Amino acid sequence: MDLFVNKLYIWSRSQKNRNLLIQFFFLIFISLFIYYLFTKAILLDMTLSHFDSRAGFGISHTFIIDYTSNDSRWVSYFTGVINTIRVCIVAILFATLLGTIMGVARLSKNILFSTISYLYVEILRNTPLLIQIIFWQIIFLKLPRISEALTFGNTVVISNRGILLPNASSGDNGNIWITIIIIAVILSLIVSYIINKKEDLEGKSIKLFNFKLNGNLLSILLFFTITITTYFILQKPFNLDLPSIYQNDKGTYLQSGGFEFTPEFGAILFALVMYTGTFITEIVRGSIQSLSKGQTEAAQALGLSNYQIMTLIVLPQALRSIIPPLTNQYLNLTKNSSLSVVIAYPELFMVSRTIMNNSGRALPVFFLILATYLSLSLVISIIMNMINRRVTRIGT
Amino acid sequence: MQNKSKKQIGKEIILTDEVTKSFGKFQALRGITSKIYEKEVVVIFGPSGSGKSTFIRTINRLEPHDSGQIIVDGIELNDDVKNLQHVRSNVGMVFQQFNLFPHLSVLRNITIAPQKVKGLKRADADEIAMNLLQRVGIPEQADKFPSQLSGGQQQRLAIARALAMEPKIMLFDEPTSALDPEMIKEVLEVMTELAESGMTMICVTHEMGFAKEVADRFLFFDEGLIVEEGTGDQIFSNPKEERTKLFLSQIL
Amino acid sequence: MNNNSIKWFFGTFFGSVFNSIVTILSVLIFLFLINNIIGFISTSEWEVVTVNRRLLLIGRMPVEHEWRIWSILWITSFLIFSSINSWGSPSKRDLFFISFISLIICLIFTTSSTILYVVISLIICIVSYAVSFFIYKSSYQKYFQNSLKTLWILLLPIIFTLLLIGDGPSPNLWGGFLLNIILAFIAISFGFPIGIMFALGRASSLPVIKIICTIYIETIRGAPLVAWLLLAWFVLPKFLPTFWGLNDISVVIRAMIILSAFTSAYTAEVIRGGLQSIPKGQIEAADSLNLNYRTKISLIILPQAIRVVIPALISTFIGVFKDTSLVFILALTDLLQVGRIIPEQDPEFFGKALEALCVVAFLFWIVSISLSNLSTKVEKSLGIGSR
Repeated sequence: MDLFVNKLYIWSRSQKNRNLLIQFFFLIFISLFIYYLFTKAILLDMTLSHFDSRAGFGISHTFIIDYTSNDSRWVSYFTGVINTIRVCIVAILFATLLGTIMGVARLSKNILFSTISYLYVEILRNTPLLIQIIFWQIIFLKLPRISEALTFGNTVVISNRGILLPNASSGDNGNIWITIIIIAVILSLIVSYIINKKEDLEGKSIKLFNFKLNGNLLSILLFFTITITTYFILQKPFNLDLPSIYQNDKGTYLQSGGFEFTPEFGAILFALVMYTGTFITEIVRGSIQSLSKGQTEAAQALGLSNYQIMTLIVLPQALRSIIPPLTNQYLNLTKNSSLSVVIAYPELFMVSRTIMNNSGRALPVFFLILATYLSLSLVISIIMNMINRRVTRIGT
Repeated sequence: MQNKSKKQIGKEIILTDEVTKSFGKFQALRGITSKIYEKEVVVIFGPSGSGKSTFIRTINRLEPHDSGQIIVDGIELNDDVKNLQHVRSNVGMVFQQFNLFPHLSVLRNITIAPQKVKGLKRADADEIAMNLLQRVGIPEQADKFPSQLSGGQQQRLAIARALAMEPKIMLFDEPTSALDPEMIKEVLEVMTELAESGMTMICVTHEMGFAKEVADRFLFFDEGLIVEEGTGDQIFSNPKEERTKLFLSQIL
Repeated sequence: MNNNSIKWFFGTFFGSVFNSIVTILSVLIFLFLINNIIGFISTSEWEVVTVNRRLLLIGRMPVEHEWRIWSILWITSFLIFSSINSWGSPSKRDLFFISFISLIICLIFTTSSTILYVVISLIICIVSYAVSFFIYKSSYQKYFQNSLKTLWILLLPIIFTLLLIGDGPSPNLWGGFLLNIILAFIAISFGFPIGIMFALGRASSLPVIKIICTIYIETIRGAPLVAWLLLAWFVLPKFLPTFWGLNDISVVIRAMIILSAFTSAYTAEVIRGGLQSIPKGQIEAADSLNLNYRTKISLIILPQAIRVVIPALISTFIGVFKDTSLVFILALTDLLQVGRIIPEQDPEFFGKALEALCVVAFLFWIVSISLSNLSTKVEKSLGIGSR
């Protein structure tokens, strides 16, 4: 007996064993907790079988999938997911653009410009996103009624039912034209690359009739020349679908045609872009400012121009510290898109909530929501990580 | 000491006349009047906060001066952008913190300015760069990155980078103050070779041993003014001012 | 002087083609915004806010319980105004800002019936400010500071006591701005320490603890807050034990639980960043001094970790405050909900949605900006973030 106690004593003196003991107790505790949850969960129906049955509700925005209320709940859910992805991709693009412009503006010497940026960040960052969404919804609803809609010469229709923009559908030679556009893009990229490389190797730029040829400008010109000339040659490669307003026999105004930009989509898009843009502005600004002053001084002492300093020295270094916090903001944006439940834009959260209300089985649906958002976050993180690796790979 | 007497000091190349500079309420320079000649090596020393770094930074206008005149190689330094470009292409600077571009390779650090500012071909720029790397003693590091080099190697790279623009004047702002003791020597050797090749140099430094070997003239700065100036013999053996004597007794 | 300023003017605003375009655009944007704002202010009618002040601020709290709110306000303003002057003197700009804000809030929310109470509040603010000002110079500074600190810690229990004693109104009646503030206060008070625990757990070298903490943090951060709140609505009651009537707790308490958990996850992430930034030498020094785990963590590591991330922490807390507006999904009437519902349901105020929304936004904005100014002050005084 004494021997046993002695052995136990020696055993317990080892740090490794103590760690094991602590973890063992934690495991027991967690298992008990999970067991408790399990007993409660058994009482609930944990399957998603109700998803196979008819959805029974309408969705106002359908994209790609032609959803009707007779489709199964799975289809309704996927429609919601697509709506989420739709608003997230567009919002991420525009928010990044806005944030970058405002971030650089904040550091500009032009007082007007930097004040706009300062006010923008201070006002919109400290107001809850929900308030901004509702604000934009009110603004959209204040647009003129459909009977007095703004149409700039029959090209667009702006009313409180949304904005209709001209749409294009493929015409006679549409496919050929699209192929030509793709070829034109590739060609101009190649030309731009060649001219830039030549400039690099040969020194000061290529001169044509004593005018300096800028590689980027040239390639853009080339692109437009090719696309426009082929447009005229092919004679109507696409049909312009212009939106219009008309009255049906009851005298109600209806609108048709074109690409529809509903108030709900607009509200959530604008709010997400403006709100996330403020955070991106701060990230960009902080990144550029955190570069040591000595870098710009050394570049100035060498005689590089302001533009050169920005593009060759400052931005490449700033880019490295921008990407991780930027990724975080994108993930926040994705999760914030769930707030469109307040203005009835049917993205995945709102659809799930409707399903929960209709069918009463919340927990499995919740797991589905969790899994979806986690997957979306994962996809975004992976893409940004790839970009991060390319950017931090040193070299010019 | 013998080498210096063989050197030909040329004509006046930098003129500063009653230059003042304040940072808010603090007046860093209170009226600096000085002339610097071609091929001359001038060493500026003095207690911290005396305005030494501020002074040489006004010469390539990293700090714009408040009043007074600065004329570099016949061009006056003022708000005129064209003048500034001219001056900066003739003046090279080496910093205490090196300020190398971490995202560019060693070679690219040197070639970026000649290529982008002077419009040299890549091949020519590379050649100049390799020659300079040879001159400062680190030709084998060409494809590495600054973070992979030791402190002494980094500062030598910084000197090579400044020399690539073929300046007439080189400014050194405490180039060895951030280095470990065993690496100071290699940088000072490069600077000595540079001086012997006839470059006009203005150095702010605490390395008095090196300074006595290489400098033609010393400027002692204190509280924003040049308190005393003279050759090495004059300053170190016969300091005229009390403050000079006090400072020298503290550092020597 | 004239020549120079003209030169500066043109240089800054029209220095280059790009610069000129930017200037013109900025001017256009300014004009557009100012035009719309002036147009809005001149045609707006603010009755929707002034008539419904009470609803906006404290929801549907019955009138006989109003004394509780006033006492809470008095105690809180006493604390705030004493604290302004106890940790260093505020700059003139801050004083101006604070007085301006207080004045506006008084103007908006004073009615004839409450004018006495408002005057009392103002008197308390001024007196406490004066008291702290004098004590600051005297030798009792330390005692005063310590008592203030204790009061701040006790503030939460005091508020709850005041709200609940003597058969107070059920939490379901809490609403308006009061609800947002209480929710935020609770979420931060509970979320912060829990977050510290999980951060330490995630940084631990014991795999089991590390995995559990990581799963907790990543799961909570993986879903949006509204989804978690919805979970509280539907699912939480089913998982709570039936004894003590716990599975029937009010929605407000459920919201508090979820908000605290949410805050703890985000706080844990922020503190984890702080923990990672501590040089290894600190831990080594503590070990070589033979400090045990508890002392090491609480006296050496945590103070340094938290100090480094204070800006990010306060930013997270501001985010939590803004997120309290999300409890609409639980059918709770917080400030934003009240501001939305009144124009929709009260025929007298149809179409006044924008006015109500502006005031709501203003209230949120005031709190957020004050907190972020506070964060800048703390940063400066602690010297973090300086180069």
